[in-house]
Amino acid sequence: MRLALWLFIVFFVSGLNAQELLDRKITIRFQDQQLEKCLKEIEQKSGVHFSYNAKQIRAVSKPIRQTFEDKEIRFVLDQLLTGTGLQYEEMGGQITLYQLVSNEETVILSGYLRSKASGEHLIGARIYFPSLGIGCITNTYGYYAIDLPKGSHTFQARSIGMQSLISELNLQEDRVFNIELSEDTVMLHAVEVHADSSDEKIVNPKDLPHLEKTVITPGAIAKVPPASGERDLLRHIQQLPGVQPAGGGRSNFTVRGSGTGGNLILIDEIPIYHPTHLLGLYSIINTDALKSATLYKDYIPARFGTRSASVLQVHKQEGDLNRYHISGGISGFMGRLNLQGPIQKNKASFYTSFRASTFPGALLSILSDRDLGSPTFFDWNGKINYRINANNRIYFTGYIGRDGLSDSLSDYQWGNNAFGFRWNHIINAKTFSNLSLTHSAFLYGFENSNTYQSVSYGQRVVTDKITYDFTYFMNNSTRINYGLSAAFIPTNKGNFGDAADLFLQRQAIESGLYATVEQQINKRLELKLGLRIPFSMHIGTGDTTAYLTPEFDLTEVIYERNKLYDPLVYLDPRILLKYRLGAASQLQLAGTITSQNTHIVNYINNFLPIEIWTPSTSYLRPERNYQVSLGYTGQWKKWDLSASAYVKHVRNVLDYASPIFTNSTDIESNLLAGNLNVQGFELMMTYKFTSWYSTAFSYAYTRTRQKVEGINYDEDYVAAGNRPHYFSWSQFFNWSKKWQFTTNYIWHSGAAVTLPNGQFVIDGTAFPLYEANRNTERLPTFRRLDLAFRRQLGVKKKKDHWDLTFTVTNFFNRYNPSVAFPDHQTGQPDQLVIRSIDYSPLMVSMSLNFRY
Amino acid sequence: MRFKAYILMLLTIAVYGCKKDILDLDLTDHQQERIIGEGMITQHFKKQRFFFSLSSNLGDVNQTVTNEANLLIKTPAGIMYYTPIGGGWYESEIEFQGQAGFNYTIQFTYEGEFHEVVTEMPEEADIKSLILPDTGSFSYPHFANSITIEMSSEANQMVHFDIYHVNQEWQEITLPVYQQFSLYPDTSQIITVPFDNATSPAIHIGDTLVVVSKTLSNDVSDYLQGLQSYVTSEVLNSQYYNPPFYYSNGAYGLGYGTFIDTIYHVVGQ
Repeated sequence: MRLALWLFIVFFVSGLNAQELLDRKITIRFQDQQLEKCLKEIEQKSGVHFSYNAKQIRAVSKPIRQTFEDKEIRFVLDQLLTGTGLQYEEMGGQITLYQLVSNEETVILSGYLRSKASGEHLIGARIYFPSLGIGCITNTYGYYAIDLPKGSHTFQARSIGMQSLISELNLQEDRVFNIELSEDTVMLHAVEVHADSSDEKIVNPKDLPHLEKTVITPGAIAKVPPASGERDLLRHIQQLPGVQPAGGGRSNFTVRGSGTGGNLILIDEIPIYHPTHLLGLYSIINTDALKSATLYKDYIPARFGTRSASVLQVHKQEGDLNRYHISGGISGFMGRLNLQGPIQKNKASFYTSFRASTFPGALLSILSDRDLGSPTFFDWNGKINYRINANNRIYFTGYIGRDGLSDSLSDYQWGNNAFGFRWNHIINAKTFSNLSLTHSAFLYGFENSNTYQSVSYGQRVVTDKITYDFTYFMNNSTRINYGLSAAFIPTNKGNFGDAADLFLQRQAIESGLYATVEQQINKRLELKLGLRIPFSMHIGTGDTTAYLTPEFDLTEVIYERNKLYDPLVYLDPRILLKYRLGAASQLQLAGTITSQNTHIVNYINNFLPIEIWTPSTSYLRPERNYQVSLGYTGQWKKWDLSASAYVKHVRNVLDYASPIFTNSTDIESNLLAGNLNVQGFELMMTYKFTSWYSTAFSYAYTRTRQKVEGINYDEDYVAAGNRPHYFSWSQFFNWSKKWQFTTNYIWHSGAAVTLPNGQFVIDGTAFPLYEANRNTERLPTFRRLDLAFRRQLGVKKKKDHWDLTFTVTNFFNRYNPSVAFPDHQTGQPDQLVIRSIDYSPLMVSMSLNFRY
Repeated sequence: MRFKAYILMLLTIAVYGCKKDILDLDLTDHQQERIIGEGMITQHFKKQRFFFSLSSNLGDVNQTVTNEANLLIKTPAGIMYYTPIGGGWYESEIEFQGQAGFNYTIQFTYEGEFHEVVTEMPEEADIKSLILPDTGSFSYPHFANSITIEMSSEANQMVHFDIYHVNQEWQEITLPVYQQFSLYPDTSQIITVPFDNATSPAIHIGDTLVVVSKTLSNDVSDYLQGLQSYVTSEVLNSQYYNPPFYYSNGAYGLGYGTFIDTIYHVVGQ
């Protein structure tokens, strides 16, 4: 009830604000006046401001003679503009008058929006023609196309972190026009923060914060203290409502009650299986190499498939086409070095970055009870792009990363390889295509020796994928995106030794056809309608697999080598309706059905990324996610607010059929499938008080109930890891050109866990005993405050290439157990205790960064 | 100079702190005694026996026996009811013999819980002889690393040994509870049973070794293999699963017995 009241207040208050200008009442008399003079008089009397193309206004020659007594400006304008072909719109604190475009006189303007300094394409940048009331946004590759009437038009181009450009164009025929924007250097020098959309005035309703997706820039990441001393994209998105850490203080994430395997993480369109380093403390996404990232969790466009819960699309920097740069830094956890520059000026460029662990002593302490050695990692990112001509551009992207950990008995290694090739081709002014070929592999292996046997396991899961994507800019209100993708997903032993055992050997084909129509139906209503048809097959590898039934019977299936099994086809519709309530607020309704054909079936492990993936079969059916969400976004004065409520139903979620035991190569026989129901509410508010202070709050309530026959006496139960309440509060203080100070406070419920209630000894070694009830206990409530101070060096001497960041993670040194597990008492193998680990203890770190 | 100072700060201020704790839950206070049923159905026509104990330690020789269970076994010859005869031992009310290749359904109740398993009687096997390592070599320090047993079998099957040592008193030589050995069809084959020197008693010339052999039904063999994997593999027993049970509803058991043979061997003779 309180929630409903709160929502009502939010909607009501923001709605009032949104209608303010057009609802303002005036009394005014016009006596045979031209339209332009009438507008000026309205401005004087009411205080509102008009924006228009003077030529269009002066073209209305009929004099106006009319009197209005205490009438709304909306009413006055309706009367004045009747029969003129002109329309009006309230946007950005003013009223814009514009004329609808006639199709017969239009030409096509198309091209790229780029950074003037580096030549990099600008994703999601806007080009807008105020006098015409039309505009468009660049696609994922920085390309735009728009229909315009012949003639001279003023346009405004803008992008996050760039200076806005206002200029004029004279169009008499179709034209390719590449627009270059300068970096917002004032902000860069002072704050080292690229502008967020909230930092700039609204110039168009489309610039309202989107619920359908969240764009994250390196600048936004800089506004939150870097937990554990390093800026990290995956930790940053955990500030967004509905996104939670997979384990408190860790980098991997879950979205709206689904598991980590439900997130599609694409780095330059390459799917990544395991996105973290150093046992989950840092993501593999190097923030230095990050251009932008976009998170989809309400409306997932049809071009994305293969995962059910969310999509995190990451774009790496392309490399400066004009100048060479070197940057890097060192902290207590890692060292970083980045290089970029032209290979051939204005034609081809490169970007490369390298990171490696330094001396992660805190991790040693965390792991000391496990007798594990020092964890280490390194990763490399590389990218080359080449402009063949105006219509063709190609990209090569690469990533290699490895982690290692060892103790007296065991040696563990894991990591990702990712490589991609992209070809952007402009087929014609209105049709843009992107062909991508990608290879992604997640490898892990370990060797373990104990008294009775020595085991070694290795696994490599690979995705080789081809995607051909087309965008057709049909007209200014309609855009069509369509394409197809096909992937081959085999698993094998990988690079960890022929003698190693294999967890699972599987092969699958996963493909999809998709199309989306984006339609601006009228001034207030926008529709995005998409359909994806995923298709998958399982290719036999000559092995025998056992599947479990809810009655705990095992069904053995023999998969003959290279024979095709279990063709599965689905229809995944996606819909998004956005309705603009006013100039600064909108409602959004999203409905999404997604399918996931590849499942994580790893053993639960608190330390290591033993993530075993297996494709769907007729026994392990694809996970199907049905989600409906209703959201609101609004801006008034210095506040931004977004709120959404959603209902989600997921079929064929997997859970472990404890206490049934399976051997190592037979994991699927320990799994049962059921349904997951999630309901939630998410709220986010940002407030920019002045240029020196801004703050953001986010809260999410998530209720998860899972029902799997054969588990928990067939009754529904809380999904593992569920945290019903999650709250975060961050602040940004821009004290001076030298100093910035950021804080972040996180509070959330303890995660639901299953703990043993007893022990049993076998041959002198104790083992835990569990009841059949699942996830009935919770870890303690999590509270953590992080602080960061940033000192720009050499400001007075204008040498702003160096900075120091001083970070305190968990300032109050509160103990926040992130995981709990049974373990043997030291030196007493026949006695068990429940141990827990805090992955975000008090850590003080300093990093030194430079950029030239 | 100032730059060097910052570098120095970087190295000196990079101080780490961390905190780790144990939740207030010690599972040794929650040791649960489970009922363990060990059945032996022999090929001999006689009253068959079954043994029940309570323990929180599978493989512990010091077990608490119970006579509170109710037991029956469904055999090809009909349902055999068992009655307690004391000391945890139960005996069938009538005589019967096990028949290789036939199913035997063991059902018992204890404290209201029903437990059941179906097991198939394996083939016979014989112990031909028992050989110790060169006795002259272990006059001192009196430890044998292994014993060697010569056996014959008519089928592929698994065998389990209980080995007792008698000097002045009976003492069991501890072998892993899941340890089993394979037999193949042959009139003579050698099986080496390793000892754990750390836990095995000192063996002197003149001591008596008693080896009790039991052939295992296939399901018991599978169960022990699973138990071995659970106990010995760190990855698999990462403490999120209960140890495997032999009977339904969480009862342990080593219902090996389908055939029993015992050989006595005097060390050094």
